[in-house]
Amino acid sequence: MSEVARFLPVLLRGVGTTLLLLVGALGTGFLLGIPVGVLHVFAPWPVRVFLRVLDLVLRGFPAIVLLFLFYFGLGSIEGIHLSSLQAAILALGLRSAAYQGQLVRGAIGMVEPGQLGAARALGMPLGKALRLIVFPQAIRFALPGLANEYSVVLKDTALAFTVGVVELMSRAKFLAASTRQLTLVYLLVAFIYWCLTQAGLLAFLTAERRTRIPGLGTGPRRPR
Amino acid sequence: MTGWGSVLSGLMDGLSITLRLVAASIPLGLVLGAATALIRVYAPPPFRFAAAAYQSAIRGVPLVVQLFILYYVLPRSGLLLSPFAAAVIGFGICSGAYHSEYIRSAISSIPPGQMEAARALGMSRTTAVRAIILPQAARRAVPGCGNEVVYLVKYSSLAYLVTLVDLAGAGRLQAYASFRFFEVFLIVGLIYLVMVAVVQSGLLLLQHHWRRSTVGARR
Amino acid sequence: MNRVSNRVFRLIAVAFTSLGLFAGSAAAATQVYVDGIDAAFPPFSFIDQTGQPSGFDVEVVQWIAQELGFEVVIVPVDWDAIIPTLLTGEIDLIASGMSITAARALRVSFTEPYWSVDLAVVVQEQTDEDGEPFPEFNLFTLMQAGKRIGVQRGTTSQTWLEENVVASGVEVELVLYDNFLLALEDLEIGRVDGAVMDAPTAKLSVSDRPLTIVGTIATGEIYGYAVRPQDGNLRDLLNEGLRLIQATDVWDTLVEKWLVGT
Repeated sequence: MSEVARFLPVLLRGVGTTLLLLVGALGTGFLLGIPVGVLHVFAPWPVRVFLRVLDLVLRGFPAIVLLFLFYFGLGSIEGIHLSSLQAAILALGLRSAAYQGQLVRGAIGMVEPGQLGAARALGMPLGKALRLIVFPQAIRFALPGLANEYSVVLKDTALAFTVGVVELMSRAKFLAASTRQLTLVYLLVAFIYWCLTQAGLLAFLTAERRTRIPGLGTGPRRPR
Repeated sequence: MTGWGSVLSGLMDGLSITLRLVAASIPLGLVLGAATALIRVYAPPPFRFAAAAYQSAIRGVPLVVQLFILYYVLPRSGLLLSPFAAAVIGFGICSGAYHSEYIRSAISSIPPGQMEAARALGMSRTTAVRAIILPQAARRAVPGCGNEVVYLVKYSSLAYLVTLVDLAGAGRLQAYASFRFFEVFLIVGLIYLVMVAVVQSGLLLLQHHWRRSTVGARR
Repeated sequence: MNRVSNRVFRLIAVAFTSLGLFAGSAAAATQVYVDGIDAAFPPFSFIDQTGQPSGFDVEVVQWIAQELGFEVVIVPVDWDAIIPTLLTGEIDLIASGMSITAARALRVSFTEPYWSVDLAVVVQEQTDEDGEPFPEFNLFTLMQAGKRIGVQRGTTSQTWLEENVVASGVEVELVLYDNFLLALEDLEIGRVDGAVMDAPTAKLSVSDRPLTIVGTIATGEIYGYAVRPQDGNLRDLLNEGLRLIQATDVWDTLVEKWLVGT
């Protein structure tokens, strides 16, 4: 078990980069996902068609192909200089934006449409109505999906080593190669990822509990 | 530097491996998923806990790590898997964990009254499950399980990490050989997109077909 | 959820995203060059058990950096992606047992050669009834149709086999790995029948495994450092560094430490 003690610090150095990737990608996804989701619901149809195409590509391409495309593909174009980390965050972030856009769209749809109608009738501009009335309620509906997205992106960060990002999975491969203790190293890494997943899920569960409104569930609206 | 002819031929070789992989992994995943779901609903507690632990482990660990363990770690305990076997088993086990969740909630959504009625009529649990519960659960699980099948087509792209030259692996090789990175990966991505679209259309057809053969409309 | 917490949340998200997006592009004061290495290619370059880069090429480059007054940062990169990584600018040089080939020279600029190697063919070492070790295959029985031979993706071993064995009609199955050590792991358990790699790595690695070298492919390939074609200054700098170190006994010490017996 002394080997576990020896290996952990080496592996944990990779966790920092993993978290950087995770937060960067989720953050990008969140920042872009909100406008995308809103546009999906409210924008004129040319915009929606365009978004649909982007959506198709970002969600239809495997994550690893997106990583290759952004790092090698964009990198081979004159004038574009992306580091592994930047390319990885961009690839995973845009992909997450596509998924989160769908989440936002669904969450907006779950808020009683009458509220938005009433707000507009009272003269509120659309942006303000969304910000003050729809979003605060929509967040509650989006949380379960966000929890899932967290889990997915965390596992996708384990692919970033294929474009040269030195995160947890990279560190594991180096350690396994130099110590030849493949079993211990990979089982340890599996455990670390599992812990990170559980920690995140716990955080989201707490958030869901905190934002729960008694009497108002997060399920689909029941027909009256 | 190689020309487009050999690039495309290399990609097609990769595609055929991907298709074989996916064809083998989908049934494995569904069977494992159904078995796990049944265990989680009907089996005694120790088995239910084991099934839940399997689900939690698989869903909490990246597929890459699972594949590496199957391919590089298992041999040290005596189980030597070929690259293809490791990939298929890896994908099957991974998708099985997700399928089981969809199937489990589909089973749970069937009114318990049906099981009671079946038992009251003298049917054994097994027959009741087989003849009454499962067919309905299957229909309800299709959206979720279908979604997971789409995911499987996409994450089959990890097979090259265990030395199996699938479409994504071939893409990497051909891109490097031809130095046309952007074009090659774009083409590879589009091929996956087409496969995904095919699966999704198939699912729509399936759901449409089943909807028509459902007994009457619900209240 | 109120407006304040919404804003704070968004601010944090922007901050983190920006941090992530620009993490890779921090500028430094002294001249810093980034050296990309293969993380599992002993004795020339590898990441040791404490996570630090080590190896012959690593130590040479670090010595040159110190002598000529620049900083070098050593970064592990997937070998089959290392030239694209050089060309995108993420690394500035490759000092990692890279063979000078015509195909590569079309893309990158090489320094003067500093070492020469051959390729070695490795197979399992088995023992017969008398306890005598013998190789599972020899060169002839190995290079047959259907035999699985492991190589690292993007190496001269891969190209040599493709151009000289497969192309001449002998359909061996090339199994491609991220690095040579993984190929050796699979060779040990029998998932491949043989492996081909640079001789120094082979000799180092078979010493503590049940493997043996059954032959050498005398390619006489030469190693050089690679830089981008437009970085002539860096190439000249490295050439000067190589000349300097080879004139001292530091070179001999390092060769003694890492490369003796290869």
